[in-house]
Amino acid sequence: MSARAILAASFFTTLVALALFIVGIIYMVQGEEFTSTALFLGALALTGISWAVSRAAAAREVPLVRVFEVSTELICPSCGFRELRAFQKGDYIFKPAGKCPRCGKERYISSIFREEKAPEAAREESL
Amino acid sequence: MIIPASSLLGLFDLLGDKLPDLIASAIFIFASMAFFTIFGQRIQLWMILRQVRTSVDKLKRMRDKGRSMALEALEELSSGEGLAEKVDRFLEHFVIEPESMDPAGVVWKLERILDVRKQKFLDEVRRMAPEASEAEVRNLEGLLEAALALNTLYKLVRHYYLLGKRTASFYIVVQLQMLMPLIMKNARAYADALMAFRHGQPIGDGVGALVAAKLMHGHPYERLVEETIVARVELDGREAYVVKAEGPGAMVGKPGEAVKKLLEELGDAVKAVVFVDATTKLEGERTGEVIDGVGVAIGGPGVEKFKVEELSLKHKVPFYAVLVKEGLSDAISPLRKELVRAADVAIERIRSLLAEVTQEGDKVIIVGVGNTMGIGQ
Repeated sequence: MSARAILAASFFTTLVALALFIVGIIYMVQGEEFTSTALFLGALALTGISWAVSRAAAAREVPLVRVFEVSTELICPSCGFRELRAFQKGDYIFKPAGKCPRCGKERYISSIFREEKAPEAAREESL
Repeated sequence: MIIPASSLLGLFDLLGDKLPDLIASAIFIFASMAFFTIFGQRIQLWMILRQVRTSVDKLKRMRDKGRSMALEALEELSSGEGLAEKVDRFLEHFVIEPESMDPAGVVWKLERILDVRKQKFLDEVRRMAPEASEAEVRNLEGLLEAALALNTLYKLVRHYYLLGKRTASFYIVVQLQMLMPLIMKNARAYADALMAFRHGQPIGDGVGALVAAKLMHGHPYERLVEETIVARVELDGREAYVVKAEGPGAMVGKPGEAVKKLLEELGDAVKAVVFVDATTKLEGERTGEVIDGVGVAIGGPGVEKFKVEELSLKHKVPFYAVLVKEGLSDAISPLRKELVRAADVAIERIRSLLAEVTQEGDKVIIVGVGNTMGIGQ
């Protein structure tokens, strides 16, 4: 189960807890002490469960060591042909990268970079 | 005013069956107040300690991961005999800073200590991984440094956590809790650095070196001082001496020493020195934003910066800085695409700056400051 799904479940549990609390108040006003107390306790228990689940999701969300998808861009200075591939060990910027498949001239690695995919990856580390 | 006893009895009659409930409620309220007054802070302390404990556990797992990654990387390039013990010894390494009660000359003492430290680290890595190339040795040293930083952070936080727990000091624990988000942010940055150093990928801190590499690419270069190279480049009619650390291994070189040497050689013919470096962005600022200003933009312990600032009095040459903004984590994790684009923007900024402050035919020095891992020239 993904962290996002766990957080959604936690949010839904909170909504149910809130609904129970409101119904509990209505019963309390009507004088149904036993029912309202049971509803309040139910709401309290669901809130506790929701909190525990959201904490667990937050702890799971950011892995210990993030693995980034790093790309290497090769360019041919003669014809301008560009190629993008996954980073390979030993790659470095301005490393000669063999013949250009289009014009046969020498090409080199022009860039190595990563792209931030999900905004949550940049999320601040929580306590 | 005297309340007659009969009216009090009348009040009890009025309450009737509700009286026991009322007394029970009053006892409950007063007992709760007494409980939370006496034990409230202890409960809070317990809750904060639990929170901090979670972070301490996470730091420990990060430290262990760093250690295992360093070990794996070293095992690929050596026989692996007694390697775990050597790595553990490396992770406990420390540096004693020079005494600064009499601050005169402390910079040179610090430089000497840092040079010895670096040499010792590199020699240890060479002994641990005899089959590694020079660039691999530099990258492995960076990987071990990141693991060392994680180990230091973990041990420091654990120390204050245990101290707070043993002394049951609310104030020690609260201070630790307040600092934890910043500490975890640092730890996250070092954890992100592990993979970059493991594979020798360019990091955000190298954006200055990338700018210099782009400027000097295709031109002959020579080693000017230790780990640092210079290339003479024609830039919009100016004679530019472009300086950077020698890549593609994880090196920062000695940019201050290089500028000092160039200024001594070229003298007052130099009309401007431009430093290009990465700088920490503030929250809310955009990664890859390029800004410029004046001054010596060389980070680190300050030795290289000091050397250049000393010269500013002698040569009266203006120092300019072009900075690329990035977060702490971006600085030591693989280079983001925004920063690659920012390198081109920084080059344009340097050109327009030189057009404003120098004339055609002038000599200028451009220094790409930062770690040149994964960046050739």
